[in-house]
Amino acid sequence: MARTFALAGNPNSGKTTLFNALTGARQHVGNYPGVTVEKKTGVYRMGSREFFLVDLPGTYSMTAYSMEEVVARDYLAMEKPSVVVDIVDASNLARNLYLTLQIIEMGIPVCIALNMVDVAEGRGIRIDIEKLSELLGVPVVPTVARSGKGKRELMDAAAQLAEKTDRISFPPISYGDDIDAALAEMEPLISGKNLLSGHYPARWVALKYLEKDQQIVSVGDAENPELSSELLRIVDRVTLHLSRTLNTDPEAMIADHRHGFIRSLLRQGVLHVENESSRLYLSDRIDQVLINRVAGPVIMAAVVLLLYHVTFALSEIPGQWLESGFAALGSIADARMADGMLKSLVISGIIDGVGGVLEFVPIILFMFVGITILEDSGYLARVAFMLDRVFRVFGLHGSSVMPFIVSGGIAGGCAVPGVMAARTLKSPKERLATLLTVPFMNCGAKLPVFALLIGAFFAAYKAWMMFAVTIISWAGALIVAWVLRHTIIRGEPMPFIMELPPYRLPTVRGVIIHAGERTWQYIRKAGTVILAISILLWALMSFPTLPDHQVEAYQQAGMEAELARAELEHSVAGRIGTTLEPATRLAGFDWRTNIALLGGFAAKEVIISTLGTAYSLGEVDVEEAGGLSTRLASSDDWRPLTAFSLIIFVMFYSPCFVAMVCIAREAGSWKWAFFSMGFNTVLAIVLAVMVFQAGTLLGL
Amino acid sequence: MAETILTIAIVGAAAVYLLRDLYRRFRRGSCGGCSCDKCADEKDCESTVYRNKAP
Repeated sequence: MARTFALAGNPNSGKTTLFNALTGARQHVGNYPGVTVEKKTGVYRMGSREFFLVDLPGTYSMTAYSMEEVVARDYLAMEKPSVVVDIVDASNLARNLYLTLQIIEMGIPVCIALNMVDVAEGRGIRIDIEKLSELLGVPVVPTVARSGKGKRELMDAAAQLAEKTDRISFPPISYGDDIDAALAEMEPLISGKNLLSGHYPARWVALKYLEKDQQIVSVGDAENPELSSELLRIVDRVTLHLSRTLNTDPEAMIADHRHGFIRSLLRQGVLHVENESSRLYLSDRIDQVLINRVAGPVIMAAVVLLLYHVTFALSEIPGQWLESGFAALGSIADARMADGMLKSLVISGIIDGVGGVLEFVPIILFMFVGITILEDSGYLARVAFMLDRVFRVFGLHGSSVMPFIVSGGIAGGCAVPGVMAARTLKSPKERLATLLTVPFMNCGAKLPVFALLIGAFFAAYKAWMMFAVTIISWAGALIVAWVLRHTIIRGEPMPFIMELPPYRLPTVRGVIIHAGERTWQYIRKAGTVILAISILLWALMSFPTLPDHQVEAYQQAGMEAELARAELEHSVAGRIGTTLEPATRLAGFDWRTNIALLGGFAAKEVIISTLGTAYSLGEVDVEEAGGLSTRLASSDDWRPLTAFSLIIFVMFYSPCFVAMVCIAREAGSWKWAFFSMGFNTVLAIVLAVMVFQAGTLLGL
Repeated sequence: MAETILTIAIVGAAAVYLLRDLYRRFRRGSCGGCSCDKCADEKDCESTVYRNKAP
């Protein structure tokens, strides 16, 4: 039986010319029932073989805006040709590939005829055909339809593709998190009930629902009204969310991401244009500067530094208000409550523990506002694009960049969504390398720890120090990734296409909603998990108590400060901290820091709350003690080098418990979660010891 | 005496809360997110607040 090839393409792409060149005088024109638009059919002979060719109406997309589009789409879905030969105008590549993407998304084998290559060359357009083929995962054959050049090679490629059973599957395009989440929700519903499944892939149907394609929605309504309503409810929810946060709708978002995908694809060395600057869009013009090979990284560093400057500057005063507020609360509790266990719990365990964490809410809020602006404007995607080049050098995939940024690449993220975002990586080895290195980023829980130490010991140049911390964490993560990819996780890298959505002006409402959500998460965590851990750690730092005769001896000698310290050292946590001290002293950590770092295995914010409690329990006069920052700065056990060593340790040591659970689940084994805990902690202590010892030798 | 009982009750409540939290993460499969303790259903997980999580 002869195979059928459908010819699709934009109007004026040379499709009909190619069809005529292929079929010669054998073509005939036929009307199809129910539509008024023509489709031509013909026969192409190759040796003894014959192929039916169907020339579809020229269309710009596969939406159902025009009858041409409906005819073309219905034919592809209902008749299922063996191969779609997509005629792409080489001199208008970006516009033509929009249709190509949509045909590929329909799950039909595609062979691209890169037509009018002579015209393109005349206009100074050079196309890397192999690269285009590799990135799209489809054969690409250059043709000149007018002269018939390349038509035989094209038919050979299409025939081979039709015979192929192991076609490379095109990775699904991401349409941004909101749309992707909706697609992930809709796809199983569609495939579970086989809605339109005889003709279209489930993802494609979901996309059409999101685009509110009336034709598909009507067919869906008729086939399964209940499921169709459910899908529309999801669509309405996403539409409302996008409208509130980005002032857009799913259809525009999907189109933006397709255009972004194409632009990025062309930037991967596929397209070289000379003297075409007047054709560039506004986003492209901005990108010429922002992602320029030389200016781009400099601007990126300046943007991050500015973000840190603004964050620290704006949060300083509200941070002081909170610090004073919690100090006043402690004083009130001290004055009103009778001495004893409960008073100690309230002041040292709750107020100094959780209060220490909450004092950093302004920093978290302003950092998130800044990051949300960068994210919503589209700049964060450019950061990922620029870092992609660096990532490949270290054996990571371009898709690893966004998980790194989500995990706190600029500071203030979370490793849990970062680990989950690594799902987009197709290669299991690149995915594993990403899973194991994203926890090195500076998440929102590490941020207050760094802010505390930087504020106490490097107050004169906070933003620069935070910038240095960011650079060190990225460098550490990439070096570890390189080591892993060259030792235990070896494997070939996969090709990558990075999407660049167009620039948008962030809406005030969107920034408030997203930054507010993230800040609220921090506050809620402080008021729940951190509070509970602080209370338990207070108990561990308070019991067992010193024997009465020892307490009396200290009191009789008037050594109240020594008594407080002895009580803390005598506690369970104190004993653990003291036991570890001989080893951790090499990194400059005393037993109280050890307790805090042990607490940090549960959640990194606990480091602050535990230090708050430990230094509070060791203090005699609550009113004179000041905030934790002041206490650390005035402590004999601390100096800037100790703080820097601790920053290095916190940056690299074990992921928090929640992140470990997530790594175990995503890696499919607890082995990798424990590897992450053990490897990271050993790495952290080695680096911290090196920093502290080197600094001490230098007299710092 | 009352003060001791109240202190033990607070510490006990904190321990129970954390155990419950652990139970959720292990038995119900909730990732926990940044602070999420809602459920095992990823689409409702607050950690997905991070948009553009991956290209």
